[in-house]
Amino acid sequence: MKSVAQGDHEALRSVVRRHQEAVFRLAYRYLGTRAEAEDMAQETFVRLFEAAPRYQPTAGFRSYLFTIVTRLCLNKKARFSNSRELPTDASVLEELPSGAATSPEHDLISQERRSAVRAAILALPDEQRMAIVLFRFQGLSYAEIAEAMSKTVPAVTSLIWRANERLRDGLHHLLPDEKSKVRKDSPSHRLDRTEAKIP
Amino acid sequence: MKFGCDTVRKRLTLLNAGAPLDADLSEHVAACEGCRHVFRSKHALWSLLGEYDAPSLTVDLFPGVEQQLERNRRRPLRESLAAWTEALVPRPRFAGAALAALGIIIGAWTGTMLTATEDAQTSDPPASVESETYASIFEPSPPGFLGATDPWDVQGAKVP
Repeated sequence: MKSVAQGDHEALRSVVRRHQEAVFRLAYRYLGTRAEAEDMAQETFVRLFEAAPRYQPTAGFRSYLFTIVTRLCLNKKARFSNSRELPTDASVLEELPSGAATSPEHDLISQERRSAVRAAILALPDEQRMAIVLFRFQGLSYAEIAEAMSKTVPAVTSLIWRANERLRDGLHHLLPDEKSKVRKDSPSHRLDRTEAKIP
Repeated sequence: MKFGCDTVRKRLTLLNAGAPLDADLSEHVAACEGCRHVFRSKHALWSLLGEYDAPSLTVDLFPGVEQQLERNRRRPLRESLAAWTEALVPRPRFAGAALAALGIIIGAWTGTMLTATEDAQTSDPPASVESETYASIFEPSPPGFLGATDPWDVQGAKVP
């Protein structure tokens, strides 16, 4: 980072190439589309370069980088938060990596499951979604998430707890032990309706 | 058992599924059917979430980052240039107002200058004129003016 702070573009190139995949994946899981995630990842590295002279190596570099992308994503006012509409880009599902499908039928089921999971995650409120993405997919600790989101650890705990509950409700039909516990007034119905919008 | 079921279930829900259970938690889960169910449910949800995988990045971001940095570097120069240009060449919608203001200023200045010129012509005369005029009024006429010895004696004057 010292070299980056001195304006060394080669050092920045090295940092970008090393971390671009992780930053892109985090942005993608939060935003839900490739184009937005690429733009966000690019903006993250631009901010990183511009903020490099002020960088203090108090925390790990990875946490610092995730803090930048987290705050950019949250500031972006993800379009799902107000309208509760999910991206309807048909290519979204096609670009997701498919599992090791053994037959077309299995492939279809697998795609439906992925679609449902994606819809449930993208239907979460912004902060819950970011917290669960950082926790479940990026493997950050509660303290790191709190730092990245400018929140306290108990607040993050609460966000993850509520996200878990909503996801459990939204995905009950895919969870083996939860099928018998469907509540008609649960948020899952909202999620089901949202899912229907995905092509 | 060290913890109650409520505590254990809360901790299980908040635990990252990849993380190993600590000894107290594992002991409780092994002994309690209800908590084991919660644990399994948690794992099921966590593994289901794993289906939301992100695609791989297919482009190198660095060229775009470099271009953006270059644009940002040029921005201050462009902005200051635009500010200067704007100051020198007002935008059309302000041009009328600017011309009107200029006209008022020029008109006011011209009016002031004309008034000053007129005042200069009609007000206090030069010192030589002043002394001559006052002298003719207040100073006595030379003796013998119109035959009077006293210049103020109008009655004594002889009218030719």
